[in-house]
Amino acid sequence: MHNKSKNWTDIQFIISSISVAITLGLWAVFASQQKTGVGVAGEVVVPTQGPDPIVAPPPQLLPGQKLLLGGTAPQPPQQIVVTKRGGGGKKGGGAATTGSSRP
Amino acid sequence: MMHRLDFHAMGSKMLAIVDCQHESPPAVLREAPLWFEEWEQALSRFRSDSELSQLNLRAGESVAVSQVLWDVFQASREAEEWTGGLVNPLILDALVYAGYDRSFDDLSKNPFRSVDDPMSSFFAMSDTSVPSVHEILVDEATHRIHLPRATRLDFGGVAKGWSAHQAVERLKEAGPTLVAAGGDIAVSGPQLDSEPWPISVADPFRGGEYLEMLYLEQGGVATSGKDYHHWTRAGIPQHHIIDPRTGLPAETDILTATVIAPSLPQAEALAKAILISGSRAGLDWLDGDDRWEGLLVLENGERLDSRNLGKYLQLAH
Repeated sequence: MHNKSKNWTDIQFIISSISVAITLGLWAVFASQQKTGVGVAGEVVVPTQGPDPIVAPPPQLLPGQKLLLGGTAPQPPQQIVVTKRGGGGKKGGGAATTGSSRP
Repeated sequence: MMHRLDFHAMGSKMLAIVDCQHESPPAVLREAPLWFEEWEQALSRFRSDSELSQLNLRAGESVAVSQVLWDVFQASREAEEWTGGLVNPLILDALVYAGYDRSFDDLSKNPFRSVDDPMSSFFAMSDTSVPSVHEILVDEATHRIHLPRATRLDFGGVAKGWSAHQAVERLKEAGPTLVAAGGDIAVSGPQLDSEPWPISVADPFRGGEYLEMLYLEQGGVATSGKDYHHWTRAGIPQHHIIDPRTGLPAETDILTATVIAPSLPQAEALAKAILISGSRAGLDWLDGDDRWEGLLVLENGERLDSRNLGKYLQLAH
């Protein structure tokens, strides 16, 4: 009978401890959320948690490609082409073509 | 040997060719892209930190300008004089209003766009003539320019033509030279074998094909057209050739005007003026002076040549 009473006391103690722990845990969770949502009058409240950030997938680089981290993009190499005299045109055209300005 | 360098500047494709005896390219040819970058930084309206943009921000004040900007300003005043005011450096606001508010590079990403806003139907009907270049006050001795308030300069094709002309002047020490700046071409003299430079005229109706071949020993050839960059505003077709008399895109029956002149700045200015004037006045213009010849392609597909264009259509030898 004495043992039975002691077991019941232990169970009550355990239940109380779990209740206190759950209460404190929930308090901590909800109280911290409330803090971010409530401010003093006139105070601008900046939410600490926004929507889930969009994470860009890592760039897929092809062999030989370089990932540029800032700065200006390198210009294509300016190569001087040497040809023999006589026309100089391409596809039967002239050395140069005149037309409306275009990129 | 022909030494050819292709590069990109001023929103356009650039080409420089030097004809010289040596197999190794002349060192000066490699400098050409740097010159164009320097000139663009002074003259571009699309760069907010360019000297031109800074000058425009200070309209209403007297501002000392660099030699480059001063020289191009003088070239634009000459172009205004040659063309009776049809080439005017004060058309910027009209251009921006018409929708040419970004560079050719950016326009090319969507050349057939529509620029509409709630007030455009109202403004599209209004007449907004462009101020005269004579309203700009200058001090020749100190190279100061005083733009009237609420006006802005845009050198446009004049800057490109001037730049190509300057590049030819610098490169020709290495040999006969051709420089093409977005379709405007300057040549310093015949090639080393005494042959003229063959220059194709693009066919505005068939992309990539040629309408004619011109043979040019010296001077400049330029084409002005409304065939490539056009868009709509309030349903009204727009293009980037502004008629300063109305402040609106020119109403003309010409699709492209190609002009040959003793210098590229002259050819560029005249091509634009003739495009604005229309075919009847344009042909009168070309036939009225022996210094220039030209070829007009009309919107209906018809082609009109100036009286003596034939001398440029075949090899002399």
